[in-house]
Amino acid sequence: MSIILDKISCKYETDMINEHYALKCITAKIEDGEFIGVIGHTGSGKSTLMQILNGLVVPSGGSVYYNGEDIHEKNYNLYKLRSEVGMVFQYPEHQLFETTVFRDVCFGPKNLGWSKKEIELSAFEALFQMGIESELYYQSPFDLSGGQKRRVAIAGVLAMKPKVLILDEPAVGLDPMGKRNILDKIAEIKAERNCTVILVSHSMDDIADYVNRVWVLDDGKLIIDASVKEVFSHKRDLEEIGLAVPQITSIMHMLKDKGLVVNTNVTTIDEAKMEILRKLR
Amino acid sequence: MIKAENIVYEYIRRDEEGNVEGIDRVLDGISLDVQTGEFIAVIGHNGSGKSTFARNLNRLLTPTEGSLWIDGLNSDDMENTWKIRQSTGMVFQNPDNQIISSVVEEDVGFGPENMGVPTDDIWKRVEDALNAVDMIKYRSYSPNKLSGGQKQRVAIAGVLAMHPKCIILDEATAMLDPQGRLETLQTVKALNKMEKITIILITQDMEEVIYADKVFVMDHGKITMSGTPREIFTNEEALKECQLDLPQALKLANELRKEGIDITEGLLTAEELVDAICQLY
Repeated sequence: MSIILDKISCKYETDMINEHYALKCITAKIEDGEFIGVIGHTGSGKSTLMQILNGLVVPSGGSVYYNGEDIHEKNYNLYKLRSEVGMVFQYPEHQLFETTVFRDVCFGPKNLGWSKKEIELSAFEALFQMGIESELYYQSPFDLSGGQKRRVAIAGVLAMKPKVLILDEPAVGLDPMGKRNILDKIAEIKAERNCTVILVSHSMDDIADYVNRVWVLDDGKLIIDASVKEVFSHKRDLEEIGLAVPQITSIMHMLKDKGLVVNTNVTTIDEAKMEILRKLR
Repeated sequence: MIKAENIVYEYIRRDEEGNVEGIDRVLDGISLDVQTGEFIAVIGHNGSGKSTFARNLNRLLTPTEGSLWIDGLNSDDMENTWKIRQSTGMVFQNPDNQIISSVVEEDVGFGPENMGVPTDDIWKRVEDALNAVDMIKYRSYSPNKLSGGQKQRVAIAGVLAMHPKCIILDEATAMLDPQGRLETLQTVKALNKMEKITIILITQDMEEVIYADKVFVMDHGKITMSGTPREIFTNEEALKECQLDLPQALKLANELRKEGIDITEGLLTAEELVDAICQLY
């Protein structure tokens, strides 16, 4: 099981003179069970790339292979692809529409033609895993708080039992605790279901805390595809393209600039603590 | 600039026949005083009433009880609506809710045009505003061809072009990449310093709070804490109770302190932490 992107490019707004590319010749392979973070400045093509992964946008060049099959072949079942590659858009709570939380979560699996029992079981499981208290199941989703709505919307995608889960800025607009809560839940679900997770985020701190592998997009090109440590060791390159290293990493760089010989290849608070203690003691 | 005395705001929930089902008291006795030229941050968890408060400042809503003066104008008086909206500009979280024209520069010019600014002046304002948010090269683009963050910068430019006395940013940087966020905040800070525009920054991002002169923490419709960022961030426990958090640098400082490292209390920025560590070395 894998997803292969083979020289994907995506053209838009074509007139006689100008051609704009949202994506330029992207080649990558996603293995089963990976946790990939996608970063890039606004307009770098992150969202377009995510929509290509589940067949919502058709690339103007190159092919996407899901489990060895080209998803844009004539007879390919895109319907099935979309049930296996679940997509959580930005502000997914705007897509809530049903009268109760439970019905809303059932909507996805219902469209996959499952039996009633399967649908309800899957919806319960998804709500439970997202940490929604059972007394909320039969309330209107519109009466929930922002963080709860977001979790219900994600549960709606999880209920379809996707093998690949794509999340486009899932924590944006939430308070610090709500944000941590959602990302922790996603990490737990990933471990339990052993699915592949692709997380788009502007928060370098979150990327450093959660993912294993990072894609850096710049102007439609995949310029770095490496581990978290490796990516955040390219401080200057990241800053040049409008990104940054995590706060903690930049503190280590500042210490180094002041003449303290510390290892700057540090991305989390714990690592930074150990490194500074090592120096001071 | 803004004076609130014990303001209360209630959302009234009604059933299908229009009978009152319940009353949500979202603002519960808020009193505060903001001087002209101050940079204020308002923080609080989702549903704490921050946005409702902001909407009251712009007379999108009017307080159920209590009194509110904006730029010396009583917000109870219908007559003051347009004057208040001209003096306090608002930037929302989702730029799609704010952008109306099909060309970027027309969108930015919409505000001043409605105020009856002479045409030449409008063009100058549009240019200055787009320069301030670094979107001048997109002036002839269609906003729906821009990415989320780019749109947000256009929305900010639209408010800037109206030369308001006060700008309210309701989580306006949530969708931006690190560079975009920094640029926006620096722009806002510069407007505050140079033009003495009062800034009210509503945010979930604790790193942004550092820029403010004064912080109000909201919880359940009340202001539970207020003070300089330095004062607010010394009380980690109280912040956590309000589902908030500390900036990364201060979390690291606290962790180091727990290990017995003697780091000065009352730090605020990463630079200060770095200096404190260097002194120990």
